[in-house]
Amino acid sequence: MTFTGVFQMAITLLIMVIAAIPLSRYLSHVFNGEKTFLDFLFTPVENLTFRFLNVNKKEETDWVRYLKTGLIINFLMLAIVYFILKFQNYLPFNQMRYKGLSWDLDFNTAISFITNTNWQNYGGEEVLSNFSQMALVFLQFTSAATGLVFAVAFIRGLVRREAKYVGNFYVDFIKGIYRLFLPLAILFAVIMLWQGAPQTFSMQKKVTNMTGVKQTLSVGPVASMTAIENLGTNGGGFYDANAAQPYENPNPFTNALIIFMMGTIPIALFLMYGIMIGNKKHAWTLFAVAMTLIVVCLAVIYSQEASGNPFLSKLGANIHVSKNNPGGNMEGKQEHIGIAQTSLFATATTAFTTGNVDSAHDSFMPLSGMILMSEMMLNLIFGGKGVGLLNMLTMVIIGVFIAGLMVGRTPEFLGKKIEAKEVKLATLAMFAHAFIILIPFAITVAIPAGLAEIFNPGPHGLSEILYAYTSTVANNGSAFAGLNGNTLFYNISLGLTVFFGRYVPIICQVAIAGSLIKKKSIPESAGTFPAHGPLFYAVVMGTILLVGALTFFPALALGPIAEHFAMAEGHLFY
Amino acid sequence: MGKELIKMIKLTVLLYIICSLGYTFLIWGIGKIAFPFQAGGSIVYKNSKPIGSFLIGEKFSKPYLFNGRPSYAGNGYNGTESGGSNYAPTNGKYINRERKLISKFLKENPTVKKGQIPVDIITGSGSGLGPYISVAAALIQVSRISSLTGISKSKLDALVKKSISGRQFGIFGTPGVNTVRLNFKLAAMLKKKNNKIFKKVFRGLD
Repeated sequence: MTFTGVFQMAITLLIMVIAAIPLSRYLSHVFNGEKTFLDFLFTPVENLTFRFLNVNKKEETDWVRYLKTGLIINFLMLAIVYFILKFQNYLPFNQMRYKGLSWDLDFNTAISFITNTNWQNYGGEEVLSNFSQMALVFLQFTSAATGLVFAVAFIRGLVRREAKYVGNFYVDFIKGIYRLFLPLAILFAVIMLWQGAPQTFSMQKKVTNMTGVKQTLSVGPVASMTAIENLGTNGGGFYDANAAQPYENPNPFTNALIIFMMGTIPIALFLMYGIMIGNKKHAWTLFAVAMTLIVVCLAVIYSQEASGNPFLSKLGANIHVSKNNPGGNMEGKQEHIGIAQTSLFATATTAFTTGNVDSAHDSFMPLSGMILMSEMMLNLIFGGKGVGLLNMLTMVIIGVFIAGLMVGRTPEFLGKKIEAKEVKLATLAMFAHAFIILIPFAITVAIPAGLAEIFNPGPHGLSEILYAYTSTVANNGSAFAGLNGNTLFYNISLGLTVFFGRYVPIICQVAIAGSLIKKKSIPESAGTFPAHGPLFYAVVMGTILLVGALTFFPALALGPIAEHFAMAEGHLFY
Repeated sequence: MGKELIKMIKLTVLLYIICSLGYTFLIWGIGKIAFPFQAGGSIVYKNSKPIGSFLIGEKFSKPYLFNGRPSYAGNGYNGTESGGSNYAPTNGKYINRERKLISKFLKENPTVKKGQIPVDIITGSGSGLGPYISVAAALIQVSRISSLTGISKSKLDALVKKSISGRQFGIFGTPGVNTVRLNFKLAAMLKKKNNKIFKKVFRGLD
């Protein structure tokens, strides 16, 4: 670990938080229907869109209709992309004449992109035409907006008193895309383009290297995809190696920029929530919980990766950092990006549940791998678009409930009584997440079709499978990529965990909003438990760690923790 | 429901046109006008023939050249199959493979002792296409290249130091040396010093 390493991680995080503050203000104006400085540009375009769609922007619906509209639209989008990938050989921009995808890979891919997961059982440049990649870009916009608007609906459930309607899905959805994702995507795509990401409709360029070796370079509309895949915390890159491929992430500056793209909007959503409910202190407390978790995770990963692989040291490699030698665990990492930026990238991609990778996570040290999985198991360290906030608030409800039990009062949260119905739904959302990871994981390690695709032997092989289910259920999409997921069994099982992992918690959470919105507000009294400050921080953090550890520790002990101790003993696996 | 469904279908089609086609073509247009070099993949030409891109690593395995890192992209630096080794740190097969790589490196670089080999030169990058090696990994090859080509060590040392890509804005990343740029410069030196070896090694520049 070096000072320059810590400094570049700290400054990247700091810039994200600073940028998130004005962004949160802007977003709260957008979703409260208040004036913003960009109205002159967006209002006419939006009105035109609403007229075309025949949507009355003043009309609002209850949570059931809101949810149903969102889910059906998701399904329609899924269907379009499924057919584009299936019949890509009949569609344009397919210079390499790639065939249509097999139905199971297609199912897995389409469902994975509509749910904001972007798990990839294919190598983009080897399987997809440019037209198909562009279709995935479409889902990268819409899946991010879907998560975002459900979070907005939830917040309205908390804010509104004795009401019925949570909003208009079409209006929120269009606003999210027009006023947030499109303009930012255009801006960042141009920056990526300037830094070296290609943007062309040809698929390959043939060159003859200076040594006379023939080399073929895969190109395509990379810059446009790179921008939205990160802004939307989607993570599905153009290339097999994602952001480790230099075209997708040409230099250390773009690496930091990608981290910025992944994290700034999720942080801003936490702060936007504070503005919309009129309790900024509460939001900053939740921010502090998430930020603490990020810093702790980052510290573990950075120290593990910087210390390097003891086996290589024994063989004669120099893993110690010095002026000219960065040292550390360099397997699967880009040299110029370095250990510090790579550690921050890996921490960010699992915290913000993006899933984009700039290194091979499978080659990380065992404890780093454990932290990466833990971040996805919690799935609330700012998290993906909207859902991270929803998961955090689910934990808050459970925390407030436990705190209420301890003092023997009906728990309240932001002036509303938390009763059996909300607690049941919150618990269901929480358990669903854990069950959908652990049960398919347990089944998979018990059957040959699951075990056959493991790449690394020993406990690390178990970690590969655990990582796969954690990543898909958390809608992350990063992988211990040694595991070969492109088989009938994995395409279907991972496709299903992606689906249930996304929609079961969301349905529970929007239902909580629907229940809360009907309640009247109760005035604050001396006995009210404050939703901010150190005590609240401790309750939320305690709930998260307790629930997380009790649920996932046994599985982690069998995988990364066992591997770590075996490594310390000098034991190798064959 | 039928009316509602038509709304939904219209929304889906509209957003497909905007987010997939419109957005991609817009960025493509900006690239065409403002950044045509980058948009095409930053491809470099020599004698009006495309020789590669400074962003993408190339296979430099001959001892006359600054060698890059091992690559797991296809059979090595295959630009159409990006990927890392995915070896776990505790995988016995991986450690055996590393043992071979290290003994090969020690044989090719007799002045280097065990324990001095910069770890990046015997491990693969995340995509198998990274062009960078550490400064130490470049400097440690100088004595080998000097004895094979006849270019003096001090000249090669200076070449490496001149080619260092530092932290960006003084902050981001780790200093490294781009092997494609470095070997391209080495080619110019070698052409003056020893044209015979130049022709043998740099066949693409003839």
